[in-house]
Amino acid sequence: MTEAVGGHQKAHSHHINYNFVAPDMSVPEIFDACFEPVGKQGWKSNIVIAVCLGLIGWAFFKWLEQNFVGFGKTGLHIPIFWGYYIITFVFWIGVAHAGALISALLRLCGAEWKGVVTRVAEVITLFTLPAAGSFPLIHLGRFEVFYYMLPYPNSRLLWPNFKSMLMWDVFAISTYLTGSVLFLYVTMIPDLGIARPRMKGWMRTLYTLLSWGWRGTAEEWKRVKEAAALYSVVILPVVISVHTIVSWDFAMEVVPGWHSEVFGPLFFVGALYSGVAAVMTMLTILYWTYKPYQKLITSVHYDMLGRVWLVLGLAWAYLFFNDFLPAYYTHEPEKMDYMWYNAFGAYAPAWWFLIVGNFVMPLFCLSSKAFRRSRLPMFMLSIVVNICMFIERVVIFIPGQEIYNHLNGATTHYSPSLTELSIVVGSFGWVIGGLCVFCRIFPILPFWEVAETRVRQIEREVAGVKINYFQSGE
Amino acid sequence: MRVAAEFEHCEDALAAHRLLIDENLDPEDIEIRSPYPLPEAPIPPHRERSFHMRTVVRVMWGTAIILGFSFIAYTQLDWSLQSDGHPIVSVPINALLMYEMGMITAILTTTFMFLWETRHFRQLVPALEEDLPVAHGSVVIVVDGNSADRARDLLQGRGARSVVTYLLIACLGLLCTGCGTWPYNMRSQVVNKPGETLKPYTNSNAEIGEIAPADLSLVMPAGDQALAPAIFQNLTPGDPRNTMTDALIALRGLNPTAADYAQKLSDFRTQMPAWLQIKALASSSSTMGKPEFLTAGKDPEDVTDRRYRVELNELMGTRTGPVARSAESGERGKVLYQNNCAFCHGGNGTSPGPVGELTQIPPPAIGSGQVYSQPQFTDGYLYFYIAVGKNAMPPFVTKLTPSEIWDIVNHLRDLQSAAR
Repeated sequence: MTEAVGGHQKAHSHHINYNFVAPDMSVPEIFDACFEPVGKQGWKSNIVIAVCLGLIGWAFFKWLEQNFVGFGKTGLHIPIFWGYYIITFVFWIGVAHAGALISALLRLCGAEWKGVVTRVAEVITLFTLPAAGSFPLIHLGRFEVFYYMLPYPNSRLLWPNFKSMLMWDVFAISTYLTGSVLFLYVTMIPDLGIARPRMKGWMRTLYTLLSWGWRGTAEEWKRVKEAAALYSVVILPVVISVHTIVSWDFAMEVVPGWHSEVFGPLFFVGALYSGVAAVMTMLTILYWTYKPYQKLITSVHYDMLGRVWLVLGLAWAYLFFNDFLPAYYTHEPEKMDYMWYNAFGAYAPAWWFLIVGNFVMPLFCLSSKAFRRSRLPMFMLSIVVNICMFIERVVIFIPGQEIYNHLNGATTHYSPSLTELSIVVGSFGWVIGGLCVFCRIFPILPFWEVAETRVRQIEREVAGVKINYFQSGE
Repeated sequence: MRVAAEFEHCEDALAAHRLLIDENLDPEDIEIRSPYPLPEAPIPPHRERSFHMRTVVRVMWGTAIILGFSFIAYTQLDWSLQSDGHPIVSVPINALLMYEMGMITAILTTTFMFLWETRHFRQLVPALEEDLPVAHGSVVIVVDGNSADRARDLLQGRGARSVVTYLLIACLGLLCTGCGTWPYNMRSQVVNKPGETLKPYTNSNAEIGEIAPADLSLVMPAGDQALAPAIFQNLTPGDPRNTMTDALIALRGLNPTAADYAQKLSDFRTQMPAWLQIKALASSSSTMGKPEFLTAGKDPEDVTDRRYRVELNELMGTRTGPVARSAESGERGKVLYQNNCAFCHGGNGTSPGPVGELTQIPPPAIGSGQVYSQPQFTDGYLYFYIAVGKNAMPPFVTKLTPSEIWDIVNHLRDLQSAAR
């Protein structure tokens, strides 16, 4: 024993991240901590779920009313064709980007602190992406003909309009949804298989069915890690394609403020920015809700995630100003109108709040290590950033339509109706309620990844170097 | 025949697995199962199965792209996909669709290949009793077929026990503790800090008769053995899963020789931290402090099998154990008794020892010669309850080998004879 400790070497230290030290817990303790909320109920989360169900029910009612009465129930009118439905669609798509991308990047980089972050991010995607995908369908008005979007053979040789950006959305979002759900599911199979014997009643049946007979042999571990690596590689281009295609919904239009070449990266980076904020919010709520998680979610996670967040914030700010700078340089008339209308018109308060809340405040706050490592301020900043990201979509989409009208030159104001707000709030109910229910049924913190990090760190400390288990020729 | 060995720490399991391979056991018979990916993949080359996930994903991805390009060409040429002489799906849009098609093909292929390639290692509903230790964080080596007997001998001092014993402990541990709990406390819950020693306390065959110095270093932080209270850092205060076993292990660490344990114990009791006293009392309840969540409702049914009940009846009916009563056996048993049992049952088994005074249920006077020499308390009976524990008494099956337990039984008979 002592020789092993004494023989500590750092020969392989180049791939070791010494910033993160796994919590000092044994493997059974990590299991108990990760599975703490699984299979339990609490009156607080019951209330949250009940409220969320109420919101969803109310939104469903307003949606039915919109279908029966007509689209006049919304605030949309000529020339404002795209309102809060599309804004919320883009907002949720943005938050959904947290999932696969953060998880995939951390896996590919081999970050040891990824443990508690990956599944939280993937589960956020799991619920926000269907929320996002439902909004274009709600926005269709005639919901029942949504299948016209599918290129199926028919007697009249009709094709969907492949030139429509919304058509591209269908392909991109369905690819992303499939990929992120499978990514989440396959990396969760080990946890389900391991926990199966300790589950009761219907949950054991569920875990047995979902775990595909997972037993944890070395061969299975090898393959699940290979699959996770493959998903990580494949999902990255998908993520990029999804949000650039969403940005083309606007950039391909001729509406001033929309027709911008920088929208692809701007939307992509903005999506990641809001996604990291959502993960931060979720992590903090988990930390406050479940006591055993407090050992696992450390200030190092906040620090590391905060650094990523800061970089994304700076990239977002760069691209956001890049959107205006060329137009300002050439004094392009329509874009200048749009810019002045944003900065000093009806949307000025929201726009300046956006600048402060999304750029100035995070820049100064996240530069400080003490701030990054403190929980409550980070939580509040994450809420502010996501509010600002919603505002960003509003000030990008609405003013352009308000000030510019190719049809008849009349300009009008747009404000969302009760129907639109109800459905938007209902989507928040779906996401929050869905996350609550998920936490009760499945482990939101991945047991095997946390345990793996812990065991690997012990191994490294004791053995010092990696030992080749089977040398060649054996 | 099937043998399962349970290891708390993965490097012990890897060493044992390596031993089995080195001893030329058939690798097809050996299976190592863990709740997390092991630091080294213990797959011998001749057990490696073909592994084509990455290749197949590449091929399928490429095929989807090629099909996409073909579709582009087709839409540009075929009249039915043209309108006004222009293709209805233009080249850039086709490229976009092709991109997404390639991606979704790669994702679906990855999922399919994962399920396909792990099909050899899966059982749709695996046996629950072998899953339980994995679910409790241990690494398990299962050896099947012709190699099982060899493996059993090789792994004996390393924490292994046969599935038969394993199930016996499981189902009767459940009955004894009265609440359907897995005998969770049979493994010490030592939390190792980086830089400290890794192995928990183990009792191998070599250590019979005395506590070897090496043994002490396993319990205490390396290089700091004089600092006795440091061992208690390994016990987390207030952790409900700490049991009497942990306290005993800590006490043994304080006490390198059997002779002066009583003095050491009384010293220790005056310095005993308050939380440890509370814990010693708490662990004397029958629940063993296991969280309710861990108690799977159907476990007793699942792990109990008629066959093992028969085995149990045979064991309980064993009047005299396989190790004959002799002076040597009695001496070995005496040392083991002093180290493992006397804390609670007292030095001669008639009055409670220092720890026994703390428990709510007083330990029975096993050496008195009045009760436990009655014919219904066979050797097999004593063996069984030493192995699986009873009430506040922890199971010793992981600490002692079967022959050691039989030695203790013989020593108990000596004590009972002397008392009469």
